[in-house]
Amino acid sequence: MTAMTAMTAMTAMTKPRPGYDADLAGLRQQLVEHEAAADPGSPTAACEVLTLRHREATLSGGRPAELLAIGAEIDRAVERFPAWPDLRLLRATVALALHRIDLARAALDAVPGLTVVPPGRVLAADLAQFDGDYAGARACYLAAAREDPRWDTCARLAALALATGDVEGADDRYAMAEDEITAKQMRAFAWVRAQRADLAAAVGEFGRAERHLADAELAYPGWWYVTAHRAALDLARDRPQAAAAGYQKVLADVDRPEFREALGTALAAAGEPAQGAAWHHSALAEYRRSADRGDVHYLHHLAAYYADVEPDPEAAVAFARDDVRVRRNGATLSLLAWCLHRAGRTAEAEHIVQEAFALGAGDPVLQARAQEIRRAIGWP
Amino acid sequence: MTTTVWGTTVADHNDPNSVNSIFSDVDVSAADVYDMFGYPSDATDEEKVVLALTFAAVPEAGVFDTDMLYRLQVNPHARSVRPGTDEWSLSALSRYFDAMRDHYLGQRHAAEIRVTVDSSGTATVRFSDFPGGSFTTRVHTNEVTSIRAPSGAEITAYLGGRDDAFFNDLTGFFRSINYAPQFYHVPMARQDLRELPIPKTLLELEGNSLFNYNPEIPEHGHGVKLDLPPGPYTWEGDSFAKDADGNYRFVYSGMDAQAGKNVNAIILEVPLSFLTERPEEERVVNVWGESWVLKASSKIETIPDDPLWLENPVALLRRRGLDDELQRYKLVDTVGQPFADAGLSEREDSRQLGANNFWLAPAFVRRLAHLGWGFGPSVTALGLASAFDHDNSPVSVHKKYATAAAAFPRGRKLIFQELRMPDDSWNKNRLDIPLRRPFEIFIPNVCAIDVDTTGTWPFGRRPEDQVATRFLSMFLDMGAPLGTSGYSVETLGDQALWDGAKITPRTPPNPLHNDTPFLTEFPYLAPAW
Repeated sequence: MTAMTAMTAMTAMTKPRPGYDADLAGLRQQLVEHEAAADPGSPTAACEVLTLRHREATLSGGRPAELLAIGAEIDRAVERFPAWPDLRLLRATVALALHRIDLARAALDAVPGLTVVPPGRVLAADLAQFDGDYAGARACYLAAAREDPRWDTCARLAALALATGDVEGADDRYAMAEDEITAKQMRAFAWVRAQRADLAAAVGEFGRAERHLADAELAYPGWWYVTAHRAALDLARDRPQAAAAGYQKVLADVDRPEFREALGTALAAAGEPAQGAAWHHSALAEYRRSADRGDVHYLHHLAAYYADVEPDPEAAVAFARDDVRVRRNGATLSLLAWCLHRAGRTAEAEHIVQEAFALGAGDPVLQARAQEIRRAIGWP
Repeated sequence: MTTTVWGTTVADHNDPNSVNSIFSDVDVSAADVYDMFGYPSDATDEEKVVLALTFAAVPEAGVFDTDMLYRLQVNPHARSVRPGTDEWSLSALSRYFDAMRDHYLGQRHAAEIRVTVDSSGTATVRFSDFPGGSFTTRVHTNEVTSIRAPSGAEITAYLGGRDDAFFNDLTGFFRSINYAPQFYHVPMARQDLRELPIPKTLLELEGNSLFNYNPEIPEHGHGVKLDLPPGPYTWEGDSFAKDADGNYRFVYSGMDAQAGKNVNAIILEVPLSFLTERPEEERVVNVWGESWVLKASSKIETIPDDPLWLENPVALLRRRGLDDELQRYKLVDTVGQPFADAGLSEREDSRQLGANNFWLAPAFVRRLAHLGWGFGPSVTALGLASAFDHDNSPVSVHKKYATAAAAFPRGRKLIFQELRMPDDSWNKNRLDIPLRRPFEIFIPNVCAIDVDTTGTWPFGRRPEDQVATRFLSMFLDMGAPLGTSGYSVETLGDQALWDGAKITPRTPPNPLHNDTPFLTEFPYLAPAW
């Protein structure tokens, strides 16, 4: 082997695998370069660096602590460049990821006209959906799609269709989104396939879900996000050992409490209750620390946890109500109804279900919960 | 039932709300097609045309992106009938567009050449629906190759990296239309701020601080971008800028913005008899280029039993009319005429229309009038005759029209006048070939090669054509007197004109030469740098 071929071989060994690893490495390199070259007096430079940080944080796991830190950084940048609209868009995006509707709305309201340009319209639609205004969200998405057709707006319309109970329409929209995605956007393709897998599994079409995830894995290898979906599917298909292995793999990349909780559930189902409980408690501790700090993004996890994992019905209801106060929509009302039902307050639960349906919500989880709650109070 | 119902927990923090941030648009600049050259070759053995599509050298010059498909569509026909010179009316224009639309969208389908390149650098070239046959061949890239068609026709081909044949002061052009992204970082949220509502102009406007040349930042617009100031983005002045010596400041510098840059190219020299069954009658060869990028779903379609097009009727409907191969790709960019996108259409999505840009006809009339209000007064200020009726405005005006009917009276001459050539050398066979007019040149958006000419623009496009200078000549009154020979498409390329003008710099709009000489032999474009 010559020195050159040895070097080539070394390079091949150290080169990240195509897919997630390569993308993340490339993104981090890009971030380093931008940070080194950034002009501190330039809003464009500040926005580019923060956008790259946000992308890096989201791609590498979307850990709320990182997003909170980035949100604070954006706030500092906004103080310096209050009129730069892209910083406001980024702030709204990060705020929404953390369920801070108030901050997202404030960011969009800060610059006149921001909600009438396509990226602002999309965020306004996201906000409307968080608020349970499904018709308003749809109108905004459609307006944005007319002005600037993008696959991700189409994917949002798919998610909206699912939230309102149109499962078939949702899959059609996801397929349309997919049709716009090119070979240069394989991560986007994998993401959509993961959503379609969700959708298929939600209506019991597990074989179809498997195929979608296989596509996603092939399209964009090594992404924890797809692995997490695979593990969830394994759990749903009563393959807890495989699910546990999957979640352990995910946790090696992304340590988030919801994955710890899921691993705990898989281990418990696999006949390892002690280990499962340990992971559950670890997740709970993280959820609680978040809530104790005043953050709201894990409220729904706390409610769900206390409803089903380690039942404490009153705590579950309390957290679910807190979450509804933050964002009153079909998903949060659905969870509140479920918590009430688990607390034995089934009549109240049915009332909340009615409210969710009145908003126009109708996703498969809500439908299933509604059926169980209504059966419990004697509905046919 | 648990609340960790599949699909709810794992998706919660990665729902579509974060899609934008996760998936920034990936650069697909290999899809950016630059120029479509087309002209009769100098071959003496038989009539041939040279077709050359250039596009971004991505991943690098001589290396093609394996996810791309490039397509040249070719449609030979006899010279078109057009409105008579005495009928310069909007209805006559509409009749022309209708006839062209029927021609392109009706019974006649263009023949085509498709190119894909694999990772070993071998190109697959498919010729479809030519009278000379349909066939597929594989050739090495970066080599001159001879391809023999089933009919026996010899086609010479080169697919690979070359010097960029486009020599143009792009910065000057963008300065003339106040195109902010060339000079400023425009926020994503303000994509409305592209062409700012400042008069288009060939001469800098007094007080137009956003776009006038700034000697303190000489590279502004030449790679250096500033953050877009908060505004205002309008111009309230009333005169062209002049220096202490009373000279106007030209928006063009004469510099070649593409100097030292490479492209990838598909260059073919094809016998006319391969392209048409009636080469004696069909003397005009229309050609236009397209780039298509592989769809993600096609990239992984080796997974059995779940191809999108089988399971999804919605997607299937959207792909109607495309053959099996094109269904696997997405059309990204189209090129026919230089400046058809940037000069005549503000609409980004129009870039994908190609020859089918007929619905843009009303926009074309409005846009020409909009440009006329900008460039017309500039032309007049230089002491030249304007084809656009701007009421002798002393300075450029920013004006837009809501309807073609309102815009048409102002731009009638601009639309209908024949673009005179500087001499008869273009008409190599000395035939009775009518001069071309702007509306014929840009709609449909194709490179229309008249094989009885040299193929110089607008009778095709040769690499050496100074297309910016010729494009701007549309705004000159070709019927007005000027010296001994009158106006022509080369008037603005006459250095003597600039030497006598009160302007700085004294340069034609287009650089006079490419950064490196073109070749006299195939593949004609110079080697890559």
